[in-house]
Amino acid sequence: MRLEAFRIKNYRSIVDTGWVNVSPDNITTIIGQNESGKTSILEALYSFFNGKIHEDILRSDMKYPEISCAFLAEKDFLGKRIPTDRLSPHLVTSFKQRPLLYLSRIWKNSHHSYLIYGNDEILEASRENEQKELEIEELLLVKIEKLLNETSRLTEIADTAERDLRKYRSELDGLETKYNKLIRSIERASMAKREGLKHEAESCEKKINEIKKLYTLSENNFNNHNEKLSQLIIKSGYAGKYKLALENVKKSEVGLKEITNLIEKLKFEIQINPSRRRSAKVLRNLKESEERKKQIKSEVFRFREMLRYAKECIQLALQNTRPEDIEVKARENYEKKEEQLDLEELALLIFPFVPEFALFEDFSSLLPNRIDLEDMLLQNENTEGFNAVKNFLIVSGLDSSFFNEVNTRILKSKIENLNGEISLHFQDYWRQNLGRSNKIKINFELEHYDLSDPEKKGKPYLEFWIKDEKERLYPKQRSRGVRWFLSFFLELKATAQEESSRKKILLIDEPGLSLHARAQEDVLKVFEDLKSEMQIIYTTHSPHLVNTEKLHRLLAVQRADEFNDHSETLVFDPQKLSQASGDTLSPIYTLMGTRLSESNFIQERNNIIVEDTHVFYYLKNIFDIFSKNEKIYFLPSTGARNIPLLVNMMIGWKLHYAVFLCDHKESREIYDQMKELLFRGNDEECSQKVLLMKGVEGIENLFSTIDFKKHVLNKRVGITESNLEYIADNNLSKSDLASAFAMRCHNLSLKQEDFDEETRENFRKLTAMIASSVKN
Amino acid sequence: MENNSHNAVDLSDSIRYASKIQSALLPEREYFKKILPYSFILYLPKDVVSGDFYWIKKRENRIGLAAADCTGHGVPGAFMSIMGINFLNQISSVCLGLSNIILNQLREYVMKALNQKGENEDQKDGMDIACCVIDTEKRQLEFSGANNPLIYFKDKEMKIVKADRMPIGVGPVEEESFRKNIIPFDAIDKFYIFSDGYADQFGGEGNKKLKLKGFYQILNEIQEYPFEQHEELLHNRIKTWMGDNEQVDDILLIGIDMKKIYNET
Repeated sequence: MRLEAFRIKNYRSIVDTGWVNVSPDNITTIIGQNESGKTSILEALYSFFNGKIHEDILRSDMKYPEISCAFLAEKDFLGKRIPTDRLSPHLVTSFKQRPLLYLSRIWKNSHHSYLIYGNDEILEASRENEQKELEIEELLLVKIEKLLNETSRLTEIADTAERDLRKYRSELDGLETKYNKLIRSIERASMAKREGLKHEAESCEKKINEIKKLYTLSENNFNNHNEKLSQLIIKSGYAGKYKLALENVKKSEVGLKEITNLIEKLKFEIQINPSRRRSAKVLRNLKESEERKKQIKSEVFRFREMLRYAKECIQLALQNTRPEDIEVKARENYEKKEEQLDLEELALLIFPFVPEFALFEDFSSLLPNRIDLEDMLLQNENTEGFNAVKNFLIVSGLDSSFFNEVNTRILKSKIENLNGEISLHFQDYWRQNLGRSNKIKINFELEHYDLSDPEKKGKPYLEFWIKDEKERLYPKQRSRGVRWFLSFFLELKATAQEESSRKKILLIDEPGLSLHARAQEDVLKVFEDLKSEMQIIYTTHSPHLVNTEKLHRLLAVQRADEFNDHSETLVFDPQKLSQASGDTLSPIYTLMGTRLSESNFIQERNNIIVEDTHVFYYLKNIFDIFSKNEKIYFLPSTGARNIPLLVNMMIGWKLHYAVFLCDHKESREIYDQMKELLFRGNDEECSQKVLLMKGVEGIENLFSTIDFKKHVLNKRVGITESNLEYIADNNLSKSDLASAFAMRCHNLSLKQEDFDEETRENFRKLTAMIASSVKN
Repeated sequence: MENNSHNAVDLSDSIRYASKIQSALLPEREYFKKILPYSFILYLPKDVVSGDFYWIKKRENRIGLAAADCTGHGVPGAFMSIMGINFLNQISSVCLGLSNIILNQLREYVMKALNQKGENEDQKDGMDIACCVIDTEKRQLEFSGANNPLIYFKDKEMKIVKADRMPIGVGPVEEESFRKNIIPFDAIDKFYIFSDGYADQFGGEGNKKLKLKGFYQILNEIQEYPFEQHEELLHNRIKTWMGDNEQVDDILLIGIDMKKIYNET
């Protein structure tokens, strides 16, 4: 996995860099004046990795930083490292299109940050989803309220109906008893009373019937509502559980917030009041509070789980799921959602695989004159020069077992061999002579203290020398530049050799400040050597630390208002270098000469780089005839291979350019190389700047055979192959032919009509393609 | 004496064999008819082998068609015609270009094969040719001619599309691109391409050349008859014109009823 791009927000002078691509060939050079924000970029990237910031990096608006990195992963990363069924399909599809992984670290306060997966698009989609979820929850609460109201309304109705039923039943019972009594009385009564009783019985019967009707009505009413109610009661049960769970979550979250504030307050108290007694009490209090916080945290977690489950249940109930299925299905849904990774979980899973960022601000640990072997074996990191010696041993391939050799003669012989190897290796990079002609040599020796140091007598120590034929000097007797370079060399080599499952990204601030110009160029050589093993991002002012053949590696940093140190930092990638100020680009001008655009050879705009002089001749004359009004400046390279160098120079000089290539193996390779290095693999952008005339192997093939014979070859002969093949088969010089064509154009003042339709059509297409590229 | 007659027998055997080879290279009539059903070829070689040849090739929606007349007749002409057919097949092996591009390329092939560099003696070898491409998608006929024209009729009115005055092979002036003429389908009823043998034939009352004027007149006259009878009519008319005279050159004439073709495409 490698770093592809970064974006920094709210970090010292940086407001928002936007996405900035790092160099695809693993060495990225950040140039810019003092106080432009170069170091901030390195520190921000380091903060992304270790999650730490100092308060002094906060901007005046007190917005906390947000640092994002895009990593190019192996194509099978997602399936191999993270099961794709735990991811949203959108993420999987976008990864398949380009295996880029986006991680952002966002700070909540000076001490806490969290990682989240996604670029703007993914995060926006996630925010939209969250918003939708909130809306769904709000709607759910409204539905729940309605449900509960309805349940209570129906309960009231059912209760009333039940009361009525009881009342009617009791009335009926009374009336029926009365009626039966009346009937019996009629049988026994005299004629005179019978009529009266009959009348009373009829009236009683009538009332019985009336009440029976009312009873039936109430019974139906009761039954109806009771059925509805029994359904609602199940739903209301889930609604109640949901509301309770919600309340619990809210309460526990409030509790968590309170206890967190309390802990912060206690910590602050400890900071400002170091009195032991007071502190002891506060410390006890703090310990208890932290214990309590743990409990509340687990409660919050448990309540949130319960809430999620309750939510599934009530949603299913509201969808009229069969009551016996609700809990089974809710469990299934809950578990399924639990398995889905959210963006924060995903970021945490990916983070262990991203390269390790290491920040080298200064190589403070310079190689000492000597160090006790005991200190090295016991890892006494505070010993002077410990790190430099540790690196030395790693680069030499030595571990503690090496010094277990008891035979001093064998040990010394091994050390002698190693000294030779290390010196040779170092000389590959350090090309400065020491003295007149002698190359620097690095030596270490294993010695033992003698009587002059009675405390350490007999104990082994390592002694270091930097020597030439005449002098054998301790490191401290050499210049700071030599020592710095040696330490830098050891540090980088050791880092590259360290066995780690993670790749490394070295962030180096101003390397080689104390070095001579040539030695600074040697630093570049070390970078080149290590770039296959790690990515290197470094800042510099020095023109000697800028490889002018590889300006695609540059990022230029400057303030939005160059005269105001409080204005925000802007970052320009190679494609936008022309927007950077002359002062920012001064290291490039120093090396490449200034303002070539002010000469008449190349102009600020409309420059077309072509493969060779013969293409130059053809194009210049073709444009004179077919597109005279276009002011195009053709710049011949010396072969397609050298075109990237010219492109570098154009970028360095801030000149607008396009490249014209015919379609052959070498030019296609150059096209692909520029596509990767300058356009980050974006074919559309590359094809606008690098014009590859597809299907046309050489510019000579744009002439019809007849015009080729007439205007280029000046010979009547049958040609059945392509013009280019004819030239090759007959060992003709392309340059001679091109110059003959130029002469003919000049001497005969050739016009468009002098070419046949086929040639005219080809030339019109060619001139239109080139002209449109310079207008872009 | 016996030896001489033996040699003569050998020679005529060889020529007959050469004729077989030439016939094998010429497109089969059936193949021709399959590609262009409403067409005829009047092919009357003067000798056993001929200096005239015809050629047809179909590539996707384009049909290339040519009637050519090589320098000389008999064996030298036949050699040249074999070369011509081969080159045309080679040029059209992948796709059929524009009619003028086909002729430009054919000229390059001939110049290269005969090692012609524009010197005077080079100019006697070559061929004249009428080359058409029928584009059924664009519904148009492309024509380019090296000395040989194309005649077409619309509503019985004859029109001539002139050829460039350049041969296939090196000519007296530096090579130029052949012109490309484009005629839409709906502007043609029938068209004819041919070698010069028909018009150069001696005969008639004054035993004179028929000439192009006479040939065009015959073409005009037969328009009164259905196309299916044109081959026979043209054959009969040249036989009548020739009478007892010897055929002076190879005769090749191709007729196409475009109206029927484009009505069907």
